[in-house]
Amino acid sequence: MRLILPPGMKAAAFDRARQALRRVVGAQWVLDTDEDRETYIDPYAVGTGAAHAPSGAVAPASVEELQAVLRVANEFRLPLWPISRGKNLGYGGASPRMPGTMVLDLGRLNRILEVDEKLGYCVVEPGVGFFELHEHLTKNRIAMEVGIPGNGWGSVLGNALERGFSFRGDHSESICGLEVVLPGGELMRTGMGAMKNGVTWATARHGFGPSWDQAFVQSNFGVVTKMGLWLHPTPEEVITLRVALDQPDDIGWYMDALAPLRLRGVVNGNVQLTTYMMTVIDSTQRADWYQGRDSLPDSVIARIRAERGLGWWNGTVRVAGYADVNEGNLKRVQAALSKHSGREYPFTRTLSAQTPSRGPTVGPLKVANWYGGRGGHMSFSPVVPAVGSAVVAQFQRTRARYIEHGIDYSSTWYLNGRTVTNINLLLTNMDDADLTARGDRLFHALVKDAAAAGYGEYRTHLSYMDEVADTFSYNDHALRRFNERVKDAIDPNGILAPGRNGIWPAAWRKERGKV
Amino acid sequence: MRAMNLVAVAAVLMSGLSTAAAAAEPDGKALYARRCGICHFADGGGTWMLERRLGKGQALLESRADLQAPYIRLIARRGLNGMPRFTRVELPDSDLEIIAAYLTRSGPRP
Repeated sequence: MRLILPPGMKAAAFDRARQALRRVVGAQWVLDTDEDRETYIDPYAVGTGAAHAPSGAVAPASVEELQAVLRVANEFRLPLWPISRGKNLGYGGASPRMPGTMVLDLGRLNRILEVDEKLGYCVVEPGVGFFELHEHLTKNRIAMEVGIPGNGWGSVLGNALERGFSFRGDHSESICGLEVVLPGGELMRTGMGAMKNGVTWATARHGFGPSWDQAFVQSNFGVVTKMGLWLHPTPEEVITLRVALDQPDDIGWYMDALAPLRLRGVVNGNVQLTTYMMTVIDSTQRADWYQGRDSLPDSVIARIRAERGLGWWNGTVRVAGYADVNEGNLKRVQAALSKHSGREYPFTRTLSAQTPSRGPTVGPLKVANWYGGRGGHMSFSPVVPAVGSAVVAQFQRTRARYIEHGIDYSSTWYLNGRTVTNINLLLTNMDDADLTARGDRLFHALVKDAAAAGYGEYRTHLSYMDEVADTFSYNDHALRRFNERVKDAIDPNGILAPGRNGIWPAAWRKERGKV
Repeated sequence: MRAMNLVAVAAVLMSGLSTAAAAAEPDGKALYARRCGICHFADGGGTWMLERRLGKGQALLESRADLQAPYIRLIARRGLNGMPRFTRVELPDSDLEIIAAYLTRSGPRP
């Protein structure tokens, strides 16, 4: 992809910045050929990806090099977009929000610095992936697990900073202690790590005074170079119930039945419920079932379900822990469900001593192939109260929009206890301009609908960050003003991730809303 | 069945790592397993899509004798259909060359 400069930056200044970066990291780690730029483009971009095209990438090998990179960026006013491994697929991949921003690729900082089995935590750098951490735990027979998202290709640290989640819940809630390079290049540690010799950095959530860990999540206030992350003890036994619900509105009673049990820890992992889609993508594409341009009709959905033996909704409930405790919890779950359905659900028991825990996978990425061609996907992800009537209303409203725009409805619901996070997939074929345009219009409509109901998204694609941020508008956008006052104070040149999650520094604020 | 295959892939990934030879001198088969195996072994998304486009005989890259190094380099850097692109940080040129040499090696195929 041809070079696109940051808005307002002159080519001569950009070239001087590149030369300075080469002196810091070595010529080979300033990646700025046309092909290099292409590799950092969001593979599932809306359109060509030019709206979020980077001017190149720089990849430091140490914290010291990173600090020097930030000093160069400040000198030349070169905007940087930090990524850990760049696998934020469905939300923008490795691409920056503002075109011309240079990607700050932290993939070479890839050490697992510490794993403590007794206290249940690890300390990792940005380049450590789920595969590497899982492998480390397994190889060293450490009876601890890490929450692994559907796409397990990415970075452990990066995923937690995006609030990625799994049945373990929101991974950002496991963060405990960060090392951060501030936009000016200063190195800081949070919590107990702020002591010269803080022993409980990754075990005590707070230090003395304000807690800042969460301020670096989904923000652009610093570059996280080390993260303490709590691990989960491997349970003695896992019981997995498999549930299939026959009617679309069954999701309402289901959430009402399980939310109290999730809240009380009887069910000790997120409850997951999904449409037929995540099963059929394993071996089929849309064209195998239907050729029409409209949303998949009920008759086709019925045929898919019949051939695959699926419910309208399909899911699992996980009861994990000591076997004797599980027994009582299982009875409570079955009782709560059978009260509505009149039946007990099949389940499997797995003893961790006999069966290794399931590792990362990239299997769910197959979903991008649904429509064929250059497949792509995005997610629309509102957070809804864990109340059946609210869930049904949000589901019906969302599905109606999908049908209106002629897009196949596919979604997964994760019951956290007090809320349900609803990941709606917007699948596309990027070679089909009409389909992609309809998907874009659908996304705008969904954001608007959810906001009208009082529901915000937990995460979104680069192209919709300003739009979603705009829905957090209490007291005429007081939160945005606060975020941007902080941003301007700690990053006066606005060099770090301008526009991330709708937070624009003064230097680039006029770019807000441009995609 | 699917879970078993995933475990098998994980086992191959780990066996590739655990050999001292792999650490000292990158081995094409081990590198391929580590960088490409999760999608391009049996049951992987890449294998499935290749089978749909080109037929079963062309689906497993390791078994093919018609691949050429420049094409492998091109697809790794530019992606293809649902396959994302690899940066030179994630997959350095030196590793890509070793993988390309492995996939274009002479001799019998599994």
